[in-house]
Amino acid sequence: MIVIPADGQIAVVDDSKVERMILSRVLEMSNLVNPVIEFSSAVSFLNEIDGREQSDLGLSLVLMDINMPVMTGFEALPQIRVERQMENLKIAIMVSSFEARSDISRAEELGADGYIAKQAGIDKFVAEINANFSNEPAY
Amino acid sequence: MMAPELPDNEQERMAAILDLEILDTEREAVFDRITRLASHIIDTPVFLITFVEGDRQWFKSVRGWDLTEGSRENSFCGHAIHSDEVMVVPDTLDDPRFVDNPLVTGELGMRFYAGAPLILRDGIRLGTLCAIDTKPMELEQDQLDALSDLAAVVVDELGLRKGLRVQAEISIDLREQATELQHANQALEQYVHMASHDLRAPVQNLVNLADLAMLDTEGEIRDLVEPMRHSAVEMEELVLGYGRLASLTRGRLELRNISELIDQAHEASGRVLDLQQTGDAALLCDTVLVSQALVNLFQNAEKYGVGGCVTVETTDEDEFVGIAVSNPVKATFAVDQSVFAPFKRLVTDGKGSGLGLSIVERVAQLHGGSVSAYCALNTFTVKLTLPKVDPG
Repeated sequence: MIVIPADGQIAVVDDSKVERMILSRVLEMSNLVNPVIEFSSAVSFLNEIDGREQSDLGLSLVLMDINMPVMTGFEALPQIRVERQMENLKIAIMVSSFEARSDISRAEELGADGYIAKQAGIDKFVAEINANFSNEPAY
Repeated sequence: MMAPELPDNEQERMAAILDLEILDTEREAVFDRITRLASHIIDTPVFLITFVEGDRQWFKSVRGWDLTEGSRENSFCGHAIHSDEVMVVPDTLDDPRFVDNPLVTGELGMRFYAGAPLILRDGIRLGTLCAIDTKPMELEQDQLDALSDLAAVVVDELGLRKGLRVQAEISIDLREQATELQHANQALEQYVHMASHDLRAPVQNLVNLADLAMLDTEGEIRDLVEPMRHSAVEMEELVLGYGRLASLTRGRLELRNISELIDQAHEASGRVLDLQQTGDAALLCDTVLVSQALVNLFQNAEKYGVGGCVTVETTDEDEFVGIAVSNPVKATFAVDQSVFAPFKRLVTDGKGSGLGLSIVERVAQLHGGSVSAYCALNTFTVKLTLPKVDPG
């Protein structure tokens, strides 16, 4: 379970417009109260955070796709963690469930805090979000 | 002297000789035995097994001479291959064809020749089995017959080894083909895995979009979107199944108690079954794969059973561990090994992908084990049999 502050945005970084749309709706329906901001590529997300302090970004969580053209999620992770030294920004990757095992461990080595498996079925998808993220620590 | 003429079918005859791959090979006991045997039937000092080829005659077996070949021009055998009969020259000095032949007039001083042609098939005479002496003589008919018989034995031996060679070539061919097929199969599996992987995201999207559409829609549209979603879900199951089936490979082996794997799989199956376990055994296996197989069996039990208790019987059978999953069914039905074939479905209500049991079988195979299914007394059982010792 990753606890994310309620006062920041959730950045969804995915090249698929359809998948961004679905994920935004799923996040709306989840227990998370954060507003969503969409990025259609890792590059546009990096442009957004370039030259800024992490505390100024107003981001509570980054949900990042792995398979994206130009720059993959794997390539983007060290750009965020090492190049821009944003060690505390919460980043989770999104995987389709059956490619998961190796992708997840690779992403975690590159600095991802966690992952969610994309689901077929909105109920399942919402449950997946609620099982992995919360605005409040669970006591 | 009369040099032998070339037979009309010389080209075909030559091809036949070359095909036997006998020319210029080492001496071999089997042919030397034949010339030795011939020497007990005909009392001459020299016996040859010759092949008349190009401008020479080559000797596979030589008894009494220290030669391996001679010229075709001077050869007696070059004449003998023009007929199926044994060619007999009782006295070379009386025969105008040979009277001035260097083999007769020279050091060897040939006075007698009897050559039985090596008849491969109609009209194809390869050479001879021949008897030679330095003094003239006459042969009895049964000696001529015996010489022909031994010539036939030579040809039989040639045919036999040709057959063996062909067989060896075929088995090499078969092995190569098997390797090719294996590669083609691997490529195909890889393709299926990739296709399945690439299809997954759009299919998931379809299901989710249908869900979202249904949240916002009422009435007729909803009646259309709902079956659309159902189709997409079916598609997702198929895509997932193809991918799993194509990408199943055995990973790390771990020693685990079957009872633990059963509990774990029960939980992972997402089904709440009235599960009863009997027996237990420790098994060295890829626990991920075996759990996957059990998950499929539990899901099947829930999907196709009629409720009631699902029993899992673990048996410790010396070299194997048996895991039999049984569930009650509506009626006893006939079942055979074909239920494990991909896309085979026991029921036609559209509930399954037809891949669940294929995956179970594949898991068994990857462990060097087997799987069987049977139905009796309204109970359907699938039994996994897995070897205790890692097969390799």
